[in-house]
Amino acid sequence: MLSLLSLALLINESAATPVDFDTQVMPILTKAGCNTGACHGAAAGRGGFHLSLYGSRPDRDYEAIALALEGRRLNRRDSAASLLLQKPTEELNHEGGTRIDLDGSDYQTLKQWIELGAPRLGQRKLTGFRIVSSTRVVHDLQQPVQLSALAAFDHGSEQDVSGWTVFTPEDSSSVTVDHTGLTKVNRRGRHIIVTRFLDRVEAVELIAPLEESAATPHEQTTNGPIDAFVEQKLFQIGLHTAHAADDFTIVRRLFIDLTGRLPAPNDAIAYSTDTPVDKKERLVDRLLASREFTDFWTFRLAKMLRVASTRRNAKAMQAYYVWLHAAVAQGVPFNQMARQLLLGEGAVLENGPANFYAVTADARAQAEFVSRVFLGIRLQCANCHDHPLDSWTQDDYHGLSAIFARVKRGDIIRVTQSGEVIHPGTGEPALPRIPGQRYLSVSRQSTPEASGTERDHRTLLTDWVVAPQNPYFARSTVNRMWSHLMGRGLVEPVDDHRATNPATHPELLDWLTQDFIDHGMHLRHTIRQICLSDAYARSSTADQSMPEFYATAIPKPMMAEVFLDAVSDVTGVADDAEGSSVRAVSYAGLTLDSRALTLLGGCTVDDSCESAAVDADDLSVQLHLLNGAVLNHRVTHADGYLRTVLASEMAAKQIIETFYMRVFSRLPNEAELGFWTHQFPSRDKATAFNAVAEDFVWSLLTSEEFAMNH
Amino acid sequence: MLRQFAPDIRCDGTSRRGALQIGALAGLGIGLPQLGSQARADQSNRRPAKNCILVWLDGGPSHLETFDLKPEAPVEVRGPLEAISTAVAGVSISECMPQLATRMNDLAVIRSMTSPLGEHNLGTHYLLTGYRPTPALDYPSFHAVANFQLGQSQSVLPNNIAIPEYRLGGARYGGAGFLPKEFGPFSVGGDPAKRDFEVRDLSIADGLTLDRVSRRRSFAEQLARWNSSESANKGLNASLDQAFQMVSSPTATAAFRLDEEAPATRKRYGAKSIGQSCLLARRLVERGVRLVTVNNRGWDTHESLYTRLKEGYTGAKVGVGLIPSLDIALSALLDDLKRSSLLDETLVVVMGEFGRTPKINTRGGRDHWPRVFSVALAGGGIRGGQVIGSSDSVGESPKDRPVTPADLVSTIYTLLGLDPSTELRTSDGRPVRMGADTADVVTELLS
Repeated sequence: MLSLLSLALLINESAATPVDFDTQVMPILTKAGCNTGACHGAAAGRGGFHLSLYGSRPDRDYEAIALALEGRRLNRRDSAASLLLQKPTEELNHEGGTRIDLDGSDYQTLKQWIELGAPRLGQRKLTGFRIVSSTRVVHDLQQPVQLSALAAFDHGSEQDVSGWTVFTPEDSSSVTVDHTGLTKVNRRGRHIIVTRFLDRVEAVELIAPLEESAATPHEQTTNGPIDAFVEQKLFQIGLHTAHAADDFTIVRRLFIDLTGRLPAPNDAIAYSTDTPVDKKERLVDRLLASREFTDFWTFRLAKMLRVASTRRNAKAMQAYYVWLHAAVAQGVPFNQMARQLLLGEGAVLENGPANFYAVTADARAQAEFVSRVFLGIRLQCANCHDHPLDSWTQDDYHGLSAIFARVKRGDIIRVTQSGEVIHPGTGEPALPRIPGQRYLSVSRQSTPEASGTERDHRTLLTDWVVAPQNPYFARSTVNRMWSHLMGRGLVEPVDDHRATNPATHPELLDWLTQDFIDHGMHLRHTIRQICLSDAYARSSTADQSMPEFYATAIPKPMMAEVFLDAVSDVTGVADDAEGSSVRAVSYAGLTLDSRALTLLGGCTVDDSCESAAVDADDLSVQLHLLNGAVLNHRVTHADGYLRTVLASEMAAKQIIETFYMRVFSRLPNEAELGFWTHQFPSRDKATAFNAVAEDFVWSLLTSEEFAMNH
Repeated sequence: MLRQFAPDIRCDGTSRRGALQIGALAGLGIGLPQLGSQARADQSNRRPAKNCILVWLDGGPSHLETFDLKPEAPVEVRGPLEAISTAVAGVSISECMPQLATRMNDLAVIRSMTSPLGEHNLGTHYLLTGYRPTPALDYPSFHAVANFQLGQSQSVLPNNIAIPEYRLGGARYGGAGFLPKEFGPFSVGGDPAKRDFEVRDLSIADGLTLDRVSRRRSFAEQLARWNSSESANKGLNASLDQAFQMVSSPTATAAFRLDEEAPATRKRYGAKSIGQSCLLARRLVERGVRLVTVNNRGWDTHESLYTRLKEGYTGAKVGVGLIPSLDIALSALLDDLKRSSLLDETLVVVMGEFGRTPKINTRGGRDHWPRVFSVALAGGGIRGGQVIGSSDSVGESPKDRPVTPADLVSTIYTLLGLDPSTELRTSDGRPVRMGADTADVVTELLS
């Protein structure tokens, strides 16, 4: 290697400096956009010329440029006549337009490389890549920020490669970056710029604090690490926190988040009149220990794990659900639950976790499912090409699929010795591989004597997934918990963890992850930590312009199923007029084919949907609430709560207060009470009185205050 | 949630720059008497299209079986359908579209559409918004943007209606993007071709009266007032407001009554979903609805393309497949719009999320192919009787004049009298151009 290098240097001593294909030519092509998915980086190439997406495979690209078509793309005798130069400069007609400037230094570099015989010297290897910014906090928007890309190579020191680095702001209307890395921030807030050099991607965060409040320091609370991290960021951006929510709001918020139900009026009143300083802690602990918590969080996990998938018969899905419910009830640590699922086998009717392999179509779908729910990553891009924004390769995708390819799906889930997936890059069966880690076998021939090998592959994978050191498993799990409770993931979307999608609060996510691991990966532990933070307990204000900083609580629309159950509870009528009276948050609810639920936003379990909320801005939803059975049938039901109340002697004032407690978990204030009392006619006009009462209850149930967990 | 919007647009719906552009381009109009500056001035005052009907061929229609046949290509490319000539010399289209062939003077076909996105949801997003999907921002469809910019019609009907459902290209795309949901599409929720067709939940609930509906409305308004902060009065939820209005209006409910049409008319559109949906689209446009999406499903022909596109069922004597059904539905729609003088102010766009692979696969179908495909347009002041761009000899790549979905969407804005460079604002105040800044308007389309 060394001799080759010195030879190259020797040859070029008399001529020009050598040009390295991998680290000098490739970045020029990437920067010019030649290998993007819209151009030659497309899976089928473009105009007969195919490059690897963003230059992920220099060996193939060298072949395509220097060797394919008998080297016709290069003219070593008359370098300027090479297609590689004439196309991107548009001297020859080029569909992609002018990509490289005839007078620029990049043109000269390419030309020189061709003149030197277009070698692939392998002179140096990239060992590190980082972005240096003149500042990470931008106070003056008029002042541009200089981003410099520094690359480290195995021979020699760091080099500024800003000119060959692609800078892509996540939102190009908020941030503009020129080709040298000079950056202009146009809006205040938090901004991400994704940078790419060769196969390295790096995300840069720039914070532009709010002008007016930038100088006001924040009072630090001492409530604990969660609040310390949140407030540190609030101080950085210059936002003030909303005041703490009142007792009625807190008790309602906790009940809905932890049990999927409204608090009973007695619970709400008791909490608001309770005096101990640790009353919130006590309530959280009581709810965490409740049957309703188990039911609700089983339901949430069931949606993610595709329990009740239509792919399988109901009995098998019931076994799946029963297992999950028991695991949540017993507080089985999440890593153990994942282990049982990943190693699931046996009869699907008896063995709940075996169904983990019954709810996907094939090995590839299983690989995507596993990476999404347990790793929080979207591996599917790497099916057709290496992931453009992350380090996942096609080998990872098909290697993980290969592990699952020998799992036979049927009434009995079995691990066998046959079954493979074809790697589209090689046309050969893919080698089993733990993504981003290592191959599990060196050859695709599995020897007969190594029986049990394939089972071992699943075990090796499982050991890696659930290990505390796994960089994704615990992290994506706590991030999901945070998102459920706080209305937004620290990484958002929750199934898209990657270097180029950094967390809003990286230190907080690290801390939550470690805390989760240190406490045995119990879901209840992390839920408790979050619920007891000050950030969780803030009031929700009208200004939701920068929700990612948690200065105010983010109002969360109720899940469609929770909404439906809440309507049943308020009205005392479970019957939905479609012949069913099950709770939506239950196993039966998962399999329910309900028109109301579909309309209100229930989603199909076959997609691992995690939450679908009632969308009040949808005209179809509002028409259904007005004319459909979902509210009308329940409000007017002969056995319903309203009818009972109307049959009694209860006065209008009491009816109003009763329903305020049932629907809003609070009492009406004076203005509200005055308004409503005025609407009711005298009690002896029974028909008119009842009609007003129905319309009153209907209007509470269609209000925003009811539909949001605020 | 607080939302503010500041569209930079004139009251008549045309921005200054948009008007200037149209004026300048109209000067190039062919087939119009050249009257010098006078004609230009007149042309610049041309009324832009007011309405837009999108006929969405869901799943991705094969360009090689509809508008871009390759009779000279090898059989595995050419496929089973023949080309027929049309009213426009030199332009041929599918044998399954004889009626449209005679109306070719009203149609413009772009044969050089090109996109890199070959997955249903992604391609759909690009075609409907002019932007490629990104996790950073949820873009609005051109219908939602037009709804936002054109202002309310006089009708109590929603301005943006989808028939039967707005479940396009995998159904992951909602339509409104970052604009308030009320500018997105309202799905009627039933198939007009079905005997018992009605709009979901439009009839007043049993036991309710109009008086009680209006009382519920006043109660809901009061609750919304209380739930507003001092600084921002949110008022009644706009969709709830619309629901109240529709339910209370006899003309709104009558708009959906297809049995008011003569049986001969219903037959002329064809009994299939696309036919009756196009008929309903016409009724809605006549009643002031500006934006209609007709969603015709089934064009994702990975297999048995001949049966699905032409025959309808195996061995059919008269083809009743997707293309013949499109042929009669679209022809009837164009005829009726023309008769009522609505065609000039109603742009009709016929497209799907991408085209199909040049080679027929082993299952007798074609797979996804976004690199080149066709889109057809009519009405709305376009110049008909022309083909724009072309694909190569096997329908694999654009041969000349490539047009991206971004270009197309900016062109649609221009035809609707909207300046694509107008900036919209997201709920958090971020300015976003209506049309992508890389887009070029397809000037040949403008008459």
